[in-house]
Amino acid sequence: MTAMNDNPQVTEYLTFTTAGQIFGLPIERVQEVFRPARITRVPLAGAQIAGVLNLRGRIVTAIDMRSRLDLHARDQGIAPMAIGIESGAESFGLLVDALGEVLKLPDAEREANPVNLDRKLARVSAGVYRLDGQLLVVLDVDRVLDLGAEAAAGVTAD
Amino acid sequence: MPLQRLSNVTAELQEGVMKTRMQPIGNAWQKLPRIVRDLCAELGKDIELKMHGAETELDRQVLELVKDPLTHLVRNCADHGIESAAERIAASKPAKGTIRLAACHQGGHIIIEIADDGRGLDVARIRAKAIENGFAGEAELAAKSDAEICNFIFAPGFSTAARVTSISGRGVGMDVVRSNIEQIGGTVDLHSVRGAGAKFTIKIPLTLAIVSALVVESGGERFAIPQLSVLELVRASGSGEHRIERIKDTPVLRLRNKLLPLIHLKDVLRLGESDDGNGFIVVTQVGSQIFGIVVDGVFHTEEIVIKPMSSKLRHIAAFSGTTILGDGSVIMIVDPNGIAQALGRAAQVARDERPEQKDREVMETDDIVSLLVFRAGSHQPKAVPLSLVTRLEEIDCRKIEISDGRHLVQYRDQLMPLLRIDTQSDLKRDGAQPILVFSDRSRSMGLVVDEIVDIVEDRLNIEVSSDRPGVLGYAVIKGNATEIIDIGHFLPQAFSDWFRRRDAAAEPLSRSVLLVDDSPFFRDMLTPLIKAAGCQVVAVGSAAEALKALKSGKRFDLVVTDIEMPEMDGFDLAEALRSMPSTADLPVIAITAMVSPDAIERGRAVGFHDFVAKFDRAGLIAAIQEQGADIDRAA
Repeated sequence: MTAMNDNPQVTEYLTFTTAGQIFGLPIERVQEVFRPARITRVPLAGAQIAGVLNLRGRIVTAIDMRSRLDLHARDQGIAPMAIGIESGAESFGLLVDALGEVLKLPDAEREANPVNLDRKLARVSAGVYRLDGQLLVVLDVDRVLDLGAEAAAGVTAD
Repeated sequence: MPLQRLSNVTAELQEGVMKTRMQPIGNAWQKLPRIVRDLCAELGKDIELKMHGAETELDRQVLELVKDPLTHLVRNCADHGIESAAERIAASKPAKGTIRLAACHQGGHIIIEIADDGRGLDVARIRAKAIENGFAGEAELAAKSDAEICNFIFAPGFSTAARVTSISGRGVGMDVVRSNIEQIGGTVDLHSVRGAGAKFTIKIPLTLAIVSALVVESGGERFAIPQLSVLELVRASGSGEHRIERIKDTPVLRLRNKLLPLIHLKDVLRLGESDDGNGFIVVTQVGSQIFGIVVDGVFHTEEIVIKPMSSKLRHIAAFSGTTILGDGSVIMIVDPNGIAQALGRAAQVARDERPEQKDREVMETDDIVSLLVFRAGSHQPKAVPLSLVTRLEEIDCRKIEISDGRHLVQYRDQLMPLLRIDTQSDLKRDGAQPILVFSDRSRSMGLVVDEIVDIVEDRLNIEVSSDRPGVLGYAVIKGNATEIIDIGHFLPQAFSDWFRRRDAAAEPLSRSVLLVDDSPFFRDMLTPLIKAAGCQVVAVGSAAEALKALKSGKRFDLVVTDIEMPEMDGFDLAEALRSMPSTADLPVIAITAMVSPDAIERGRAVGFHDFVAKFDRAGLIAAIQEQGADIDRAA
């Protein structure tokens, strides 16, 4: 599922936290990280879409990861950091609470999702690493971006 | 003032850039006449290339991208589409074939059509080829329509040309055409008629093009509205000349003696409470529909480069794209087509948002109805629900007889009375007279009209009720204020036993009425009447259906029922209602053709609140209002 780099045994992950939980994204899918500024909110869009913003002339669709992962943060402001991802010809920004370090983790240690994992999380998760003191949930970028029916559900009557 | 000069220079620069970016599509067509001429010589055919709309401008970048697909399609038409002169003559077509190329701007898109009058696509051969090349199985193809099968020509590696020529038939091309066009967010449609020709329609959204847009503000946010569809701007104020008025919940504006339906952008986009006090009205045209979009403020117009909508937001009909403004901020581009769609729903939304009605769900009766639009007497269009009209006839004027001051005509072995909406005008003396025939059971009447204009599908929202006899009210149909004719007014005139009383002024109410009548004619006749009195109406055809509707959890304030119905009549229905605790107190008004003391006595026993004769429309409205007043008092 996760693409390999030169060393087939190890994948590099960019870690970030959202609502206290630590997540990892395969680093080769990450274009850049930036501070989102001037997000234009899009009326009628689902809660998972925080809005659109201008990043050096490109229009980036900002996805609110708290809402996407169904995690309810205590403070409800716009998340301060964004992870830029390209998919097809489009740019997306995943809004997260804080960025962590880049971790090199052996593929063999990745464990399957626990069967009782929250359904919404399980749908976008590609496995779990047991780190010291906390669990890192690996996210599948394509599935995170596949808002599908959930995004449309934000709009009624259409 | 160096800054001022800099600003001027940049403005000029921008203008220049915009100008050079926009080019007429004719630039991409320049070589086509020559290509066609060469092909004619090579293939021994005689083909004329007609070009329309060469001046249509589009973005230079888009132009480059559609150039090759267009050339390919024209070559294809010449090679595959147009037959040889001999074949054409055998098919009784002119020997000279025609390829028609046309371009125009339409609703935020550029439409390019390439049509030929040749042989059309050979569906059988495409089908065979699809099976041969393993594109689809026979069973799979059997389930496909001809149009779907034709679309196989866009599949990579598909060619039905019997022989490969230097021109086409190599199996590359159509797939490239499609992918090139889809790359810029466009679509290709194919319409083919065997023996008559094929037409390719390329639709390119203005997403790559530059348009002039009006930047507006609503609910604290900015939006762009493409200037293409904007007719004018009107400033609305509570005290000024243009004041937003409401007919029930529908905002409207009187603009040069026309009723302009309005929609608040705030409501469409759910940006908060809209108010009618101050604002700007962007008068917008989509197709033949004209309406006003109410916004809080208007800033300026700006040439914007439309950026395609994010795939995650494409399902929102109200927007067609995004753009980056000069100050670097991103704003959404409003799609007037999407707003026009929302217009029909707006009234319903407004009602739902009224707090006192939140707890109830009113059945949607603002369904699309077919309306017959005609003219009679005056120039103003008139309309009746098409379902009321039995037939449209043209009768020979010489057959119209006059008896006792009434016009009659023999129609299907009966004498049918003819009525005029405007009694001042005379009937035509000779030639054919168009009439609308209304029938119920064995009785028919003819309504004399000047001209039948159209049949339109629209919501029947009677916006202004009328105190003129024979006119239920006015509705905006296809942008025109149209009189909705009350057939109930004319029926009693046609037959002496259909009596009529003075019209009572309809007072706007907002109640929901369940109408039960087995005759579709009366359902259709009474529904607009009760609606015009300001009620929601749900019409059902039998007592059983009525009970079902009541049990479904929908709330009704009043039941209006016919007495004579098959299976379960009005008396039985009333008894059934009384026996159920949820409906025991529901007022019931009976409508009947037989008002006898016995029936009234029995009606009182089963709990009818009122009795009204079937054609006593004024009486019915009065009864509804009386019951309504009781409800209000009880509440």
